[in-house]
Amino acid sequence: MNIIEVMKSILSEFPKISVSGSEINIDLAENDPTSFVLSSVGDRLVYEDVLGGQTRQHSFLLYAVFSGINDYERIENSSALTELSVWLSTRSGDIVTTTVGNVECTGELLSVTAGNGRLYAVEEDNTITGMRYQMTVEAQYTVDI
Amino acid sequence: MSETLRSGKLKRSAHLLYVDSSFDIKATPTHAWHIVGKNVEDLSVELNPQVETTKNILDETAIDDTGYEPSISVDTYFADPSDGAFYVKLRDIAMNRLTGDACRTYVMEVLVDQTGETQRAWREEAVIKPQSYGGAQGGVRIPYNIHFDGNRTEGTAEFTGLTDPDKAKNIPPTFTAGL
Repeated sequence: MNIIEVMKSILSEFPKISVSGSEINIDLAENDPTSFVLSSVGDRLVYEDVLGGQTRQHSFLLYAVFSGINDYERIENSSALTELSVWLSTRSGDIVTTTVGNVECTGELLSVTAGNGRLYAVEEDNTITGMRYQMTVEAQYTVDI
Repeated sequence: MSETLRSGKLKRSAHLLYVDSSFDIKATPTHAWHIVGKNVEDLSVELNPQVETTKNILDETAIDDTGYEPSISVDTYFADPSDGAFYVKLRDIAMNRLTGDACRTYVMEVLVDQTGETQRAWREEAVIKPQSYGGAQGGVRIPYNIHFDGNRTEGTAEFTGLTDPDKAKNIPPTFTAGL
């Protein structure tokens, strides 16, 4: 699995997502609560070791559509993002494959950090159950070229 | 050994450094080469030339060149049991405070500057000394120094099946003394 597939798989294991039965969609969101969207927004080289092995960082935006009918629900929403951020920071060691040219290189997930979880948008025609939250996720991984 | 040099600037991975993880110095050694450099951003052989400049009473300058004291500092080594014998030996040196011959082995440098399977190589006895262990979050680190200890031998390293010189690091080499 490449880094996007690995992150999708990891997020699917987050208890509050797996219990809800929600899927992690890629790029395109559903407007019903509770749905999650993972969007890849960039990948950069962090450093290269003397053997040519790379450590890279992949950036994602994670969107979540929650119901936010009252303060109680909205606190729950922000708390879920905080829990997700802490839970992601404990994840590492997953095998990541990266295709370089025609060669499939293996590596591993080094760390995941997440932050900036916040209410991002409220749909005009659905101010109760269409609250869209956003969080940035950064995944560092190696590529053994 | 006939030489057919590659063209263009050599990539950093063209200079390969190996440590013999058997840690067994003998007349006809059987090497088990462990490649050095994973997770290491900067690795240099510090030659430490020993040169002393003196000036006599006639204001003439003389230079006394007494050779080199080369060493290498491998500042990042993540303790990794999948490195096999090398990990076990480094762990034992560090945790049991081993000294002397227990730390002595061979190192081999290969400069992949030619086309083909045969590359020029240099083997030398060396002492491996861990500098610390533990480190910051992210993994157990055992940084170590390599102190070259003489009996340097020039020879060749055979990378069987090598077609792309940039992939030499992926093939275990066989050292043969002499050109």
